[in-house]
This record gives sequence, structure tokens and C-alpha cells, in this order.
Amino acid sequence: MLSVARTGVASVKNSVRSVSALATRDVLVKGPHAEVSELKNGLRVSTENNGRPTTTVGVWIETGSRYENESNNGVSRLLEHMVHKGTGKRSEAQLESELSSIGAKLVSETSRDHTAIFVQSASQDLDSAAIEGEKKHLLSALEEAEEDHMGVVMDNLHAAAFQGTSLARSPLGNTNGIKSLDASTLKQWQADHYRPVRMIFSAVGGVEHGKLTQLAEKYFGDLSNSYPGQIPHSDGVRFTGSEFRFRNDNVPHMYGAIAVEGVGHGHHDALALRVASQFVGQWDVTHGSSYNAPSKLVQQVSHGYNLHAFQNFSLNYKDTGLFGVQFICKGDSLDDATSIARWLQHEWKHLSSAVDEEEVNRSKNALRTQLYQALETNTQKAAFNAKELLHTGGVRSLVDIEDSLEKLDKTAVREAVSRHVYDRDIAASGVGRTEAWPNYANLRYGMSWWKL
Amino acid sequence: MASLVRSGSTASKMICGSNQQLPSNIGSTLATAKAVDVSSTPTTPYAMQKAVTVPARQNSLFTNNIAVKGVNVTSRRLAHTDVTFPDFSKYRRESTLDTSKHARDTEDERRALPVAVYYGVGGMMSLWAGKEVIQTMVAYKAMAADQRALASIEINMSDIPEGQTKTFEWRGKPVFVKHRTKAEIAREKAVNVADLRHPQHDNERVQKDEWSVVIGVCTHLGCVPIANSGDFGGYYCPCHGSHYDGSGRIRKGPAPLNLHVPAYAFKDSSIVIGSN
Repeated sequence: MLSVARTGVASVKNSVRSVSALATRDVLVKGPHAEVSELKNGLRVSTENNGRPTTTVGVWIETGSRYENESNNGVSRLLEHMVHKGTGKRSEAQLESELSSIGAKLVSETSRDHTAIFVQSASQDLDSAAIEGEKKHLLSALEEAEEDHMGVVMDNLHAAAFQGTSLARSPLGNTNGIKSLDASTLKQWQADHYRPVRMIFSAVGGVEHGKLTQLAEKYFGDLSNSYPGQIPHSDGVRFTGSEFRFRNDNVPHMYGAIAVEGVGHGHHDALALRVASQFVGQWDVTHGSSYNAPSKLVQQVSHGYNLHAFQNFSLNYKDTGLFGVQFICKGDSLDDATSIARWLQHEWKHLSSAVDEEEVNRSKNALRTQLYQALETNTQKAAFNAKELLHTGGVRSLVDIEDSLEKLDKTAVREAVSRHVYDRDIAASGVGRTEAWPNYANLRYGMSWWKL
Repeated sequence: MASLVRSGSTASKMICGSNQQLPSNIGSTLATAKAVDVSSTPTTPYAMQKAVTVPARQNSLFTNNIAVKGVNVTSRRLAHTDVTFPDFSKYRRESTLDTSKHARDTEDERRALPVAVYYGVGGMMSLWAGKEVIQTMVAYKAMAADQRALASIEINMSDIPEGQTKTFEWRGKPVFVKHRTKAEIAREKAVNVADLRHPQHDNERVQKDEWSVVIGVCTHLGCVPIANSGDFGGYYCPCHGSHYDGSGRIRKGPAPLNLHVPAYAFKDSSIVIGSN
């Protein structure tokens, strides 16, 4: 009787699963799709009309700290911030009042390989007083960033893993770099980078493609593709197995990250690695699960090792990436820190050789939830579309992604992880109480199994 | 202290690392810390440290010629992005100097040597270990040492005068060693091979003409023949009357084959039976 009940439950579970998978695809097929067109000067316009009352319109530009050097580190972020200070046609106050009169919001961000400015275009005239003010703001933001220990861990991780290349530089900029910036550097930067072929005009919301293309033509159509300075060059993708520890015992915990070289945005293993990343999962002390968690890693590390939190990441830049885990632990025991790393590496090795279909399915569903939920908002979707265009030259629809996710099986995950994670060099970064940080050679040794 | 420095640069302020209040009665020669003008703040870390170090409280009782090191109040923690990651180019292999190449692309050549060493030395060692294991196993399963010691016997040739046949025991069987005369040799060489039941020329059965070594077991039913007897000047089997000649070949009687010739070799002045 019991076994009958069990099989009954199992079959119900399975049918619920397959129904939900079908439903996902159905919903996605019916959903809006991005339309892409290209202006005469090479600027690409992507719109997605989902019929919602709100719209995100923005420009995504292929610039960022990757293109900077030691002496101008921070310039792309400063320029991005200057947009808020008004444009050639509108003063800061005008800009603010006009935007607020229609209830709009100007948001911008700069990462390592792109800058995004939603709602408005780039500025033309740069007021030196405004620049000085913004530089002060950036410097204080830089000081504040020191308190974001995990942010420092990730910046240091890049500094170590991509040492000698421009990916090592943080978009935050460095003190001397920010101080030395002036209007001419900014203008030069703008002239070099804000070129139509490097820009994506992306909109998601209640917006017509034709109308937006016309607007783009009107406001961006006169931008030329000639480079008065030099064509921006992102220097280097070389990954180096390395370690960066910043010990500061005044910080109450050990913050750390361990990563291997990941893949670029358009790489065929990118999706498999994201699934693998989901398999590793995330956990912190506020989670209700420990021994009873579906993830074996959580079952093992959630107790006994003074771990406070861990979180997977799989970063994809244009041509390279980082795949790993960040964690926070008490940092008072080498044994604890080593055990946490060992269990993590055990999961990576398990992924490379023994992960089964059920585990892959669970990770795929987790990724679905995360991915589709994240792309619910107009802004996220617009950014997604723009980055797809910038990095791969086309926009994959969510149906395409769902299809490739559907096709992904345990073999694909095992192969991808074997290629990119198993027995690969690691980059490690620790901040805070790092006296108990595991030995690098010991960590590296844990990346493989003894096998023929 | 730090706020003191930041608060302004107008007044000359006393900066010293120690807040220690020195009692005035210690000595008149007590040197006071020099006043440092904050407006001329030293820039290098060394100069900063120097500025806050109180020099020479000379001649006091316990602090003779000691410089008191102060906390460098002008130091400021830099942002994490201001830390330059060291350049390890000098230690890199040439193949990884090009930052535009993925590390993976140059990996094969970098990993070739360690892999060759790993599998080369490791392979050799595992082959050797395998050989050891197999040899040990075979030796364990093989003939016992005391038996192997009996595997061959050595016969002193001078013990057997010409024309004599002596019997030895080898591996539980009798072996006849016959020191043949010239006449016997000539006789056995002259035998017509075609007439024989088991046709073998004498040359096939001896290594040196003077010495014929055969196993003394009749090929008929396994009796031991009698040496130096029979119709042909060789061996005679008393059981059923087989006659062998001086080379141990069957000439008459029921036996189907010649007497077997064991493996033997000549060594100095002896014959070793049971070895090649």
C-alpha cells in the first residue's frame, strides 16, 4: 500500500514537472520578441513591445574599465555620472524637471565591459566644476566601497585572475586615476568610445519598433563612426591562477571567493556552466534548510564549519569569464576554511563526472526561476537584449534559451565542467580574517581526483 | 590624533606618537619633541615616520639613546583599487607573456613537461612495480628451491674412463653417461639411418662424439635397461628384450623409440645435465 502511494506521488510529481516545463515554453512562445534593426551609421536598435504601460529606453555602450589604463582608471564611470549633470541642450535642473514631469527616471551603471544609460543620451558639454564635484563623489564612493567587503573580494579576484590585463581594473577607478581626470580626458574618452557601432539603443515596454527607430535616427543618426583618437582596445583575456589575500582582522569575518576561468557571453558552454553554477547553489544562515537541503553542498557545509553564507557566480564577459563561489565564514579555523573549500571542490568534481539527470533537472529549474524572474522587469530585459547584441551580434529570444536549456543534459554539463573546471587553475581572493585562508597549493590539488 | 591633522593647517601642532606625559623632574637635559609644522606634511612614508619619531632623550636613567617610535598619524589607508598587483612577468613562461592569448591556448606546451615527467617516470615506476609483483607471484608459484636445486646434476668427466658407462640419478630417473671409444664412435656413425626404426643419426644425439648421454628409461614400458649389454654394444632392457646401440637408438625388440636425450651441456671438465 505504501509503495503504491509512493509511486503515485512520484508520478504526480513527474507529471507536474513535465506540465510546468511545457507551460514555460508555451508562455515564452506567446511572449514578446525583440526586433532589431540597424541605422545607417551602424547604431543598432532593439525593441521589445510587451504592451506594458512603462518603458525602459536606454543606450548600452561598449566601454568600461576594460578599456581603461592605470592612469585613467575610473574615467568611464565618471563620464557615465556626468550624464546626470545635464547635457548640452539641458541643464541638470532642466533635465531633472523634464524627466520628473513625465515620471521618468535616469539611471546609469558602468561595469567592466559596458556602460548603460537608461532614458537619456550622452552629454555634449562638460562643465569643469561639475566634473570636480563628481570626482569628489566618486572618491568618496571609492572609500565607501571599502566597506563592501564582498565587492572588494570580487575586485581583488579580478585583479589577481586577470593580472596584467585591463580586466583586472575595477570600474570604481583608483584614487590617482580619478584625481587626474579632466574635461579633455573625458571628451577624448567620449569621442573614442561613444560611437554608433559600439552602441545599442535598446527599449523594452509599451513601445513600437518603428517609432523608436525613427527617434533613434533623429537623435543618434548624426553620430559618425570616424575615430579622431584611437580605436578602443580591450587589452587581454589572459587568466592566471593566483591568489590575493587582504588580511584585516578588524573585519569580523573571512570574505572569500574561489574561481576558475569561465567562458565568454556567447560561448557554447555558457549555459551549461550556469546550470552547473546553480547546482552549487547558494545558502546563508537565514535559510531554513541545512541537513534537509536538496543540495548536497548545503547539507555538508551548512553546519560545523562556521560558514555564514555562500553564493555561486558565473560571470560572462565578452570573451572570457569567471566561474566560482563566494563565501563568508568566521575565519578562525584553517580546518573549517579548508573543509568548506574541499566540499565545494567535491561538488565541482562531482559535476564533472557523476552528476545525474535528476540533479541537472533540479539545477535547470533553479536557473529557469532565476533567469526568467530576473528578466521580468523592462530594465533587466532591455539590458539583456543590449548585451546579447553587443556580445554576440544577435538577440536570443527566451524561447531559444528555453530550447537550449531543454536540450541540455547531464552529458553536456559534465563535459562543460570537465573542460572548464576540473583540474583547472584557480584564482582565489580573501578579505578580512584571512589568517586561516587555505593554502593555495592545497586548494589547487583539490581540483582533481586521482584517476586514470 | 588623525582629526588633529585634518582639522587645519594654520597652527603649528605638536605631533608625537606617544601621549606619555614626561615628569619634568627627570632631568634638565631631556630633549623635547620637535614641533612639526603640519602645513609642510611629509609625503613619503619614510619621511612621515621620521616626522613622528621623537629622537634622543639622552642621558636619562633608563632611556639612554633610544628613539621613541610614534604612530604615523599621517598615514592613510588607500582604496583597494590603489593596490597594484605585482607584475610577475619575469617569472612567466614566454608563452604566457601575451595577455591577448587565452591561458588555455598555451596550456599544452606548458603542461607538456610535467605531464611527460608524470607519465614517463610514473609509467616506468608502475611497470617496474608490475614486474616485481608478477615476478614475486611467479616465484611463489614456481618450483620449490630445494627441488630446483636438484634440477640439474654435474658429472665429473674424469670419473668415467673411456669405454665405461655410468648411471646417475637425475630428477628421479637414471641417466646413462657413456664415454665412448673410437671404435664405438666409428661404429655408431656408420649405421645406415634408413634401416632404423626411429631414424636418427648419431650426430643428432650427441654433442661431443666421445660422450653419449641418454635417459635410462626404456621407451617400451619404462623399465631401466642394463648398460653395456645387448646385441649392439649399448643397452639391453631385461623386461621385454629391447636392444639399444651405443647411441641409445632402438635396434631390436618391442620399444618404439630411441632412448631420450636430456638437455645437457659441457662445462670445463664436467657435464651438467638439466641445463642447456
